[in-house]
Amino acid sequence: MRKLNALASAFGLLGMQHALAADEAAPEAVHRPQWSVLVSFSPTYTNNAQFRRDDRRRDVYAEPDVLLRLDGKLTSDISYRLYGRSSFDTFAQEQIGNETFALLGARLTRNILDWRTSVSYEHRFEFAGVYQDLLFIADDVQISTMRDFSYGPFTISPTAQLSYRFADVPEARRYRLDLLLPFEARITSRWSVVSTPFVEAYWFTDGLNEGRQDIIYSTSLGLRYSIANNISLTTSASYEWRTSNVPLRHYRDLEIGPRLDMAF
Amino acid sequence: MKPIMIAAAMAAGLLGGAASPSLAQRSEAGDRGLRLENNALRTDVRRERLKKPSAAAKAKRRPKLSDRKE
Repeated sequence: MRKLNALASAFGLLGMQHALAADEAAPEAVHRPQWSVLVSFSPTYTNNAQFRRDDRRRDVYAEPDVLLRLDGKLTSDISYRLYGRSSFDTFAQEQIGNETFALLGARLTRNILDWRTSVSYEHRFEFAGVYQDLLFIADDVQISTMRDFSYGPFTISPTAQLSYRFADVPEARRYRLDLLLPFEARITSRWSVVSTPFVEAYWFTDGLNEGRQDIIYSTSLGLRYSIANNISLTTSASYEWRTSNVPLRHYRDLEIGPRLDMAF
Repeated sequence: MKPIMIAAAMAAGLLGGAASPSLAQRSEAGDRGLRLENNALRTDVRRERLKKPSAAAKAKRRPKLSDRKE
């Protein structure tokens, strides 16, 4: 390899020299795509099952979430992810609120000034009920960036994402901006206090929702127990409220429940 | 709401079926999936630090460069 490098240098083949150096430094395994499966399950209590301004109804719902993904690297600094994901809510009483999504997605990620920055595309199917009636098909285009800051046992991960939803139903088309400030305080090797406050803004662009603007504020506090490197149980409470220029769309919601997350 | 849009939505609703949702379904389309999407966002944050067991085991087994003998 050194001889080849010297040869490349001698002929001024800087590009080749760079490629050879990268080849030498990077272990083969880094570029090998890897499959993984992430599974979550959560029974949750909510005091506003239908996200209504009035006529709030309490209920309990189950929400499984399965993600299959393939991670790899395009170059030494650009990684890709191909994934399929599905999740549904099924309520004990308010079954009209049952809904499902299934999606296929692709994502490219690159570090820019230590911020993990991604562009992604998702093709989404939205169903009423548990895979019952197809409500709409959407294509989401998104750009996001995040970074971890650690101070002793504390980690804070500011995240920003902006997306646009194209959809076959005009009322679903909208811009969405998310600003998150996930926080974790490690108490012991297994126990952590976690919180995921965020603000979301929606600008609907078409159909009956044209001109509608919503803002959602959400905060949460929970305790996470790491059962193993790949399994954790988080019990948390979250409070969420929405304001909108369509007053009927205001709501407040409190949710409490355990969530089990696993990676394989 | 623009009257022509409402008329179009009602006409579409009359056809029924998944490809032509009712007026009520259409006006709710902006809200459908909201709980799932926000929970997915929270789930992504929670799952960020989980490690696949095989990857963790491989990382443990793989000898470091500094451990290699010349």
